[in-house]
Amino acid sequence: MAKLEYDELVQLLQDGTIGFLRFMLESDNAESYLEWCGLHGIEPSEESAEFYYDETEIDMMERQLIDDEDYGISN
Amino acid sequence: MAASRKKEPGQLSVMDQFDRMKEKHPDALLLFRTGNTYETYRQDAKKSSEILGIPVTSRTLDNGSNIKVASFPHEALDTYLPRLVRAGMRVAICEHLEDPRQKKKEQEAKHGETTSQQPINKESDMPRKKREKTPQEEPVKTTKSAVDETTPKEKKSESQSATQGETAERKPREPQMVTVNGDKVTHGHAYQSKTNPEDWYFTAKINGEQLKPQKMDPADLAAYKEKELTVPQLMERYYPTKLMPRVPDVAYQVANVLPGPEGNLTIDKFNVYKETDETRADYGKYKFYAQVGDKKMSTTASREDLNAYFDRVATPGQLVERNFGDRLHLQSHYEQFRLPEGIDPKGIRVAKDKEDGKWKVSADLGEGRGRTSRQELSFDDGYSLFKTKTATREQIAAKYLTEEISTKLAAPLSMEKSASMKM
Repeated sequence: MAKLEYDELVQLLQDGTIGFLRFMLESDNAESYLEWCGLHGIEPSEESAEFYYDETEIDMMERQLIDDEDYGISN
Repeated sequence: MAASRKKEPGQLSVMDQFDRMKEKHPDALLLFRTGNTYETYRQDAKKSSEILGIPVTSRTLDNGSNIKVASFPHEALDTYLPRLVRAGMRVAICEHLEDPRQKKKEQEAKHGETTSQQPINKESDMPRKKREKTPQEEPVKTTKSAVDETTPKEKKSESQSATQGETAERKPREPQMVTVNGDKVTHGHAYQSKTNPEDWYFTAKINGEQLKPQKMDPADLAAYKEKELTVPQLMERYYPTKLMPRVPDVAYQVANVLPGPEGNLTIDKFNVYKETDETRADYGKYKFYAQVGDKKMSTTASREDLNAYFDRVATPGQLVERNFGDRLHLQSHYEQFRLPEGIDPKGIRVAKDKEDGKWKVSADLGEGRGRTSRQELSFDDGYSLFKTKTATREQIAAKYLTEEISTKLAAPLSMEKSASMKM
């Protein structure tokens, strides 16, 4: 299956077409998530994927703000 | 039209460039400046049309194929770009970059329009608070010097902001701090929310991975603006568990054992989940689940403990002790509770309430201050006190009454009472 684009994944997740586990495994963060599961001694699951998503996921608009190094205050 | 414009030998057409850019940045909506308009193609045209309400047209390319195109006048960029961003789109604007050969030809032909394009970063409508202070970034298409020094994780993180990273040369940064775990903190900064301009957030990267932004306390923001708070101090405040020493990996790989009231207890399972039962008061909250022997328990988790779990700065055993210690009647759980100074243990009373038959605890606050309220004991705490004897009366009083005791001891004795005592 072709890799889905990030915004497509977000849409599918919001629609309820896919769950958090599928989202994480299809996203660019799949490797980090699987590593996190391994380090926590747990198998990938809907529950852990949702927790990982909530702890790490940043929406695209916010990410754009963050990426713009001229936006905000850097001391 | 730009997309069907004849290309010079060896020169990429707009669509070639679009396809190349799209392949590199599939999540970005690409706006191509062509003369006095901005154009979007294929899937981007459809998305732009839906968001901006502009028409989609078909255009025939030189090779006979049809593509969808949506366009708007360049003067409308200031209106449309924020709308695209607000709709959650990641937008990259591809401006003209004159091909010297083509430019020369065009100059000779006195054409005002250029034909070769290369994207430069003008990604969004972000306020450029310090733009005038910083030199305009060169539209250099390289990230090598920065990326080559990164770990695979860092590379992945960079790729998430690829439209910016691709076009703006990034120099390796000196870390703003290095944690006890050896993690490098960079890009620590505060920024204002677009959706709620009254809110400011602090964020940073650790080893190149972007941390989830944390809403700032207004006092912290003011102090940071005045340079009275540093990035390490804000890290301590907003990402404390990122800075704490991680527990050894093995703590999460093998079953943890706790000393129980009648021998060792093995934690067979420990994980986190979100409550999905809508009828429960804790619906939607994160909870810890633990299986210890034949006991299966869950409880709402605090933010501190969730972070400690996520960042592995506490072992499953420590988290079980904190969150289920009373249900397991662990002596170690009760050892965390200590009475405030000035309270005489002899003044602690654990007694059955004659009115409702429940066991309650209260404490004498000392001369002139009376007693605390009487707080009902949970079944588990009563069991630990009377049955397993893993909790003392002082610990039980401290668990239930510390807040009240501290408040009442901190309050001055009332004048009325003092005066009446003198009389």
